[in-house]
Amino acid sequence: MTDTPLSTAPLLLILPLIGFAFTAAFGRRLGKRAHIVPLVAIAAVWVLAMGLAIPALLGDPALGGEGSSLTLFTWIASGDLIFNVGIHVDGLTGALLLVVTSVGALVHLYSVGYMSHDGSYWRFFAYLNLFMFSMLLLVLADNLLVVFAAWELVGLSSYLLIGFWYTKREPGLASKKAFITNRVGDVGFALGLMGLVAVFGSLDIHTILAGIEAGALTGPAATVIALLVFCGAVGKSAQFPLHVWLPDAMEGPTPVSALIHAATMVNAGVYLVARMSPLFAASHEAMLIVAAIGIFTAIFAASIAFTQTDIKRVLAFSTLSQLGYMFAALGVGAWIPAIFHLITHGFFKGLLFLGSGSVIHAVDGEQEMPKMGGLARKIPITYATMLIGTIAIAGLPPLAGFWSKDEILGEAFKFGFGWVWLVGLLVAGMTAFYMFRLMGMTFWGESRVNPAVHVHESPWTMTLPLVALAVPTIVAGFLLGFPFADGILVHGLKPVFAPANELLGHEHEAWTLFGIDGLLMLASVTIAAIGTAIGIRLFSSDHTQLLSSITTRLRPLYEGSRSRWYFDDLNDLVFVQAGGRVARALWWFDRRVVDGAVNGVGTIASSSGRGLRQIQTGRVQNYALGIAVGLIAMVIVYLMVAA
Amino acid sequence: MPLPPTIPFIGITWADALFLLLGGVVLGSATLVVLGRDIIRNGLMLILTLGALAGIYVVLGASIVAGAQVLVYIGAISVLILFAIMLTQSKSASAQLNFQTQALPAALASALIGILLAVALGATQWGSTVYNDTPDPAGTATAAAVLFGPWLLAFEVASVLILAAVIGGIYLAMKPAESEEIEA
Amino acid sequence: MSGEMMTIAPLLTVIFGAVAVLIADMVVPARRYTPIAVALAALGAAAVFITAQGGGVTIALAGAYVTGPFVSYLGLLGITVTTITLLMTPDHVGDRGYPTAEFASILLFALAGAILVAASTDLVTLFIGLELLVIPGYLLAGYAKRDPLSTEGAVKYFLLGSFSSAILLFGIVLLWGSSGTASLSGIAAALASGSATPALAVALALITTGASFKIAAVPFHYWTPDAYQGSPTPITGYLSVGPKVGAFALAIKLFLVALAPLALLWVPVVAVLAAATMTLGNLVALTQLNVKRMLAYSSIAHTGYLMVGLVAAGLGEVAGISGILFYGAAYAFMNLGAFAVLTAIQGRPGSTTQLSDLAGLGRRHPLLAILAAVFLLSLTGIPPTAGFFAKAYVILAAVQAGGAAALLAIVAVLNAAVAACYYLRVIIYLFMREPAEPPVEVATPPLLRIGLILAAIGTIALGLAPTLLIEAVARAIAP
Repeated sequence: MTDTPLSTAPLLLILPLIGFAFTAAFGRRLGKRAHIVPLVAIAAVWVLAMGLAIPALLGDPALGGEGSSLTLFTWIASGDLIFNVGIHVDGLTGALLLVVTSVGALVHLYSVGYMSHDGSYWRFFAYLNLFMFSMLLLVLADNLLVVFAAWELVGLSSYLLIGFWYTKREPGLASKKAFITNRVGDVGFALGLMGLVAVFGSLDIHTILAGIEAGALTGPAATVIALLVFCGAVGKSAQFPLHVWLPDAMEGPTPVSALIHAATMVNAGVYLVARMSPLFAASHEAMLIVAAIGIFTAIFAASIAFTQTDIKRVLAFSTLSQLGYMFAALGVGAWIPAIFHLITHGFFKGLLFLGSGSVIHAVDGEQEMPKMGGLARKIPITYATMLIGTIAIAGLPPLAGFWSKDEILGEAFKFGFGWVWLVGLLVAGMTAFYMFRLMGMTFWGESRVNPAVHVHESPWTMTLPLVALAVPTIVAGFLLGFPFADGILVHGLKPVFAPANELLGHEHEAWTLFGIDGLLMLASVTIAAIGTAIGIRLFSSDHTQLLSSITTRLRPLYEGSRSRWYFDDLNDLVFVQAGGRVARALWWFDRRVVDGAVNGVGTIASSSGRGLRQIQTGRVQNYALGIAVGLIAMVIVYLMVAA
Repeated sequence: MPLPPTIPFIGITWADALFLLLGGVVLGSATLVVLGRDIIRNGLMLILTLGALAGIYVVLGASIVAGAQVLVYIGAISVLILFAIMLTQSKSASAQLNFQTQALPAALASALIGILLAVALGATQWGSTVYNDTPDPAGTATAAAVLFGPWLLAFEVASVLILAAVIGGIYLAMKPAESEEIEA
Repeated sequence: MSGEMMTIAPLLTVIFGAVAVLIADMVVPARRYTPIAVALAALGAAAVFITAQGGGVTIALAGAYVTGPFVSYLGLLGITVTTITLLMTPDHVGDRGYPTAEFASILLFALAGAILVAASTDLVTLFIGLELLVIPGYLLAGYAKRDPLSTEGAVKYFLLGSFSSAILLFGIVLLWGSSGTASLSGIAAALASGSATPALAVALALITTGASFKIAAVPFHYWTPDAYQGSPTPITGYLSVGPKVGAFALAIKLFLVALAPLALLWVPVVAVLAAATMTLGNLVALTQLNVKRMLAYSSIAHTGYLMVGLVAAGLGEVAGISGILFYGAAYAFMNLGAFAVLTAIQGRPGSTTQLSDLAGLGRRHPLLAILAAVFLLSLTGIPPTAGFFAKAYVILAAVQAGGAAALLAIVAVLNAAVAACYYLRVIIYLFMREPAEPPVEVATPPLLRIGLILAAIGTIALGLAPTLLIEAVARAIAP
């Protein structure tokens, strides 16, 4: 075991688990020192992960290419069904490790400052380490059953962290909503896994992928299984129509929003689809649906982000929209740009969320942007770093977002998905607009902050992660994506997606500056610039009149966007009201018709004699009659079946 | 004078006639057990039911089972039931039983089950079945050999079953000691 | 010891143990723990005998009693269930003023019945074994005899149970009449060569009805909520596990041995019942605010999952039987564990098991709350707990069986999702709600504590290393 390049990989799982167990057991007694063990554990994980991720991405012979596997132990062996727990590292894993551990480590550091006033300090760090363990297990596992287990574990830790302030009503509700919505997707995922077992008799990822390459799964079966697996991705990555939980999940502490609901867990769906890329590539229909849902979520969420006033909700809808981008990229077969965007988005969205946390910290817990304004000079570090993040997400060169977004749009166009490209282009403009709206409302213009609040910059534990994240936000795109279509990432990931590309028949073309690629790039930069210009123009100082005249003219659209296109109301109607009624009706049936006696129990007098009498003249006959009727039905059914 | 093999004018064997007669008594008296309003009379009707059943066993040639039926069910259990009824009847309470509104559905369900079973069982060809492990029903010797041979386990465990039921029954009937408190 | 004695030694040990418990109580009267100790000793001896048999097939009493790996597996499972029940009950009933001797004795009789069901080879012994298994159940349900609720539940259970036993017996008689033999394998042989007559259809209907009642499948489940709620909590735990697992042993014997040639007839019916059982059990459990009642309904749902295994096995998928056997063990540990937790929070006589009583338990009694969470997660079916593999095995078996069974697997998965809602709601109450005022009195006497730990070890060990048991299961069903 020592001579494989993965000998350190198990530590990636063990360290956070130790951190979790230690903090859960002793954290309460450690008080304000509770963060030390988790922080050290994650820092060590980061170092180890870089040791794996960088060679993997650079195409190290041991880790790049096909990747490297390490079987830890056999979990279940039942007849011909064998589940091994193992670790697999290749370029794709490396990309995920890069984001997960970097943002994870910085968020741990940030939380030291952000959560310092919280009574349950230790609990927060215990949960964070639990999450890191689950997330790393998810990206490292080489068996879909383990992936599924990790999938549920990240869901659980997300649930615990969203509901961290469980004494308040909203976080409790939001955590439940997140969990239940995810379960809906998970059912699909579980069914998809069963389908895979039925076809391949194994859940080992490489066995399955090799089987698909060999053409063992095609036609409608491939479509059904791919879409079932995609259901899980839709839930976890909050794509339409299971997107409703993510905005509410912002009730959790901001570091959680940054880590789980922007940079890592929500990417799990993208990772899953990318990991199973041959499965999707085997079905044209499935790819089309992935692309359609992705691009629809992108524009749908962007249109909602236009009008939200809660700073974190804007970012949440922006996350939805960017995730939609990634799915659209996956759906058109632009695998590498999708993962590229996953990485850059992880950095700049993590930065933006942590920045928003710093803003909220500065104005004493206020999250409504109409009550901010003019903060730029008072919290300069936060302002500068968030501005970098905003430019990056807007897609302006040379920051990270530009590189990945441009590649997605470019490949969508070149692979013949004109509609994806067009909508994507529009979304790029919208993104630039609403992000500068956020910056304008928060940092520019007159201060609308409650005068009683003393605005202050955050402590170093919080600003340091901001600065640290600003660095990759600026350079990651260039480092990974230059030269165009031939950068580090392309080399690192090409072997991973080779089978899928083979199934799709995608050829890799050279990138031409003075050809179609240059034109496409020009288009996306232009539209980003237009969005930016409008955003700056409208929100750089107070244009209340102009804004209100616009909103009056477009009232139905404005209201619709503000209320998130009424999706929560619809869900409430369909699932909560109608579903609740069905459950209640069944309960009523069992209660009254079948089981009526027990309501009478409360009134039974204390003497058991009277109780017995009650029974003799009571409902036990009803039960017996029920059995008799059941028996009659049974006899008739059997006679009919036998005849 | 020997009897003719079948009953004159009707054309069925004596054994069948006796079976029909006893079967009728079983059904009729069982119905009265359920429908009667006086619980003592219901008890007496139960004895009649069990007695007629013993008669059927005799007709079928299972004389030992019939004997056991008379001894155990009529001689012991039914009398016990009657005792229990008489001892637990308080003078103030009426001996009349209350009837449930469910009588009609219950009657319908019973009738339906009866018809279904009758039709299904009547439509079955029983003649083709070969009965392997059924002992000759005649004498005590064969019955004993079977009971202490292949069916020894069932026979012995039945006594364990009764023991368990008796232990439980005594526990439930036992008066609680004074010190025991009552669960709220 | 002669070979034949050795074969029936476990059964005899348990029966003699049941009597010895009462004798011990007579010699040293009114001690709370003496009868338990005697009973545990008897169980230990029985376990030793079963282990000593070594899993080979042996025949005793003219072929009426045949042991083998299947019987050993169920015997050891029954001993485990009985042991945990013996550990969690005495203080609960003792504090409420009821003796423990009769309880221990009756429980051992029930175990003898379960062993007999597993080892029987003919209809008569099978039926007597079943009665020996369930009649103690009626008595245990009414064990809190001064509690009207307990008595009411017991009377209902007894009346309906007798009714269903009569139905089952009638079915068995018709089965005998149609095949001409009482031997289970003989019936299978006779049915394989004959045709499906109307009488057989009726026999199947009667047997399905009777067996459905014993395993508490919809629509013959009416007795469960009453009997479960009325009984003392640890006994409810036993009733939801012991008789159910025993009744599934009966179902395996009847449906998968004797009635296997008629599988095409009963599989669709059982499949529909399974779907209805899972769905109704889960949906109604969803609306319950009393945890004990919720677990009662959820045990109905678990019956449904077990029936999925029966359907798969009926379609010829051997994994279905192993699924049932594994599920039985996993369910025993996790459900008894959940009830042991409820027993602990009912430290004071008269305390209830409302959801609100569990609020904030994680703060006041973290260890107990964590154990509760483990059991609930396992009941939900979340890895790495026993419940996950239990569900996975029966569902995978159904998927492998294909056809309608695959549809049933989908229903089972959907149901598992529904079940998560109400199990996890309890966990939310445990860890995310302010403690109830006044706080519930938690009592964990030493025996209960051992029982809790045993159940927890089983739940977690089967989740981390299911292979251990799977090998035993594979041996148990090997032909």
